[in-house]
Amino acid sequence: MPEKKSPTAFLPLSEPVFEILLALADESRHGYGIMQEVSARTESRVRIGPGTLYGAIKRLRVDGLVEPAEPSDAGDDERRRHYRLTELGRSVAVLETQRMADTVRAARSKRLIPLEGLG
Amino acid sequence: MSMERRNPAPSRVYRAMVGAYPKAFRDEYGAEMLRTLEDLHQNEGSALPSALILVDLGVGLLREWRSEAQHLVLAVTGLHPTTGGDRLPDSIPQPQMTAPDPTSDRTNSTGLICGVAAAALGIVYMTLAGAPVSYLAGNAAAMIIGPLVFWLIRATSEFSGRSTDLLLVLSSFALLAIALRGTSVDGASRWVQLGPVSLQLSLVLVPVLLVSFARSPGLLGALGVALASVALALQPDRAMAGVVLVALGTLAAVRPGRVLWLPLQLRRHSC
Repeated sequence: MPEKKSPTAFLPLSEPVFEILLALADESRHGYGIMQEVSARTESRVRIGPGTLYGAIKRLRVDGLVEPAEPSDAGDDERRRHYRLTELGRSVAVLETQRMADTVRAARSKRLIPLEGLG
Repeated sequence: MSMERRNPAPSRVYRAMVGAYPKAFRDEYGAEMLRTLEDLHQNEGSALPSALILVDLGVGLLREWRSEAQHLVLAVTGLHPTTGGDRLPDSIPQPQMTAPDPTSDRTNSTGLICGVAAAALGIVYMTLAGAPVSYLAGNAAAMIIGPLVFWLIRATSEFSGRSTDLLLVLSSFALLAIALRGTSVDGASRWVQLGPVSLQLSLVLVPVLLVSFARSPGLLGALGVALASVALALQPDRAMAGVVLVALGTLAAVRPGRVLWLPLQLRRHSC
């Protein structure tokens, strides 16, 4: 049983890890589903390869940020394992989002981006 | 439609790549990865070029083997892992080392059993071959000295940093003294004569020194390892010097730190 860490201990997250957590924020997905969601949401700016994806999933599971979930489709290929966020994973994703928002706010205050540019 | 029927070449390459991952990783994620690769191949065609997938798999492969090697080294040395921070993996994820490795005790015990069994087999073999009693006594002494060294290495984990440094420096001076004043055989001065028993103390001291240094890589310890490296470099062959170099290189990869560079630099010059 891995030692439980504080959510702040995981920050800052790398881009692939944050994208994976973000992809799992609204529903459980299998590996390819995560890749598709990230690619579609970022308009292909971020594409996570299978080597990066499963390496990250392995470590996220060990750290207790994601866990396997029951597939939504019972007829799905059994090789496709679904994943979902744990409570810790959700807390980490929320904290990382807040950290990023603070950074954007700071950039706005320094006029690096328009004050109303990013909605 | 399976990936093989559509285009067998990428399938074979992907399978070979996934098959080259460490077994534990492969057992847990291999089938899933292959399924994902099939999905990619079927649904996206050339959207994500195969070359990029192969590079990604290759980088992941190196990362997982590196992680395996680190876990092995940590298990063997009994080191407590350091992550250099609590960050999650980035594009080159760090190996997961959040808890002390529970296998280290088992690994140490296995090593001890192997050592004692090897010495016991040596006694049996020499007895059957009609070897002189002094030879048998030598192996019997090894069976006593081995566990003592085992205890010594384990005990160093309880030492304070200063005690470990002292052990390192004493070991290095002992190696230097043996190199300068020890019994010479074929030009190599690495034996110490204790009555009927000849001991090659470097085989005992070098592992003690390396494990102690791995656990407490302070500046004094680094100087001790450097001194030991000089002592080993005085020998006509490079066997033990090579062992030290490989061990320090491994340590530098597993636990990078400035202090490691001192003995490594010296080692490089003396080889």
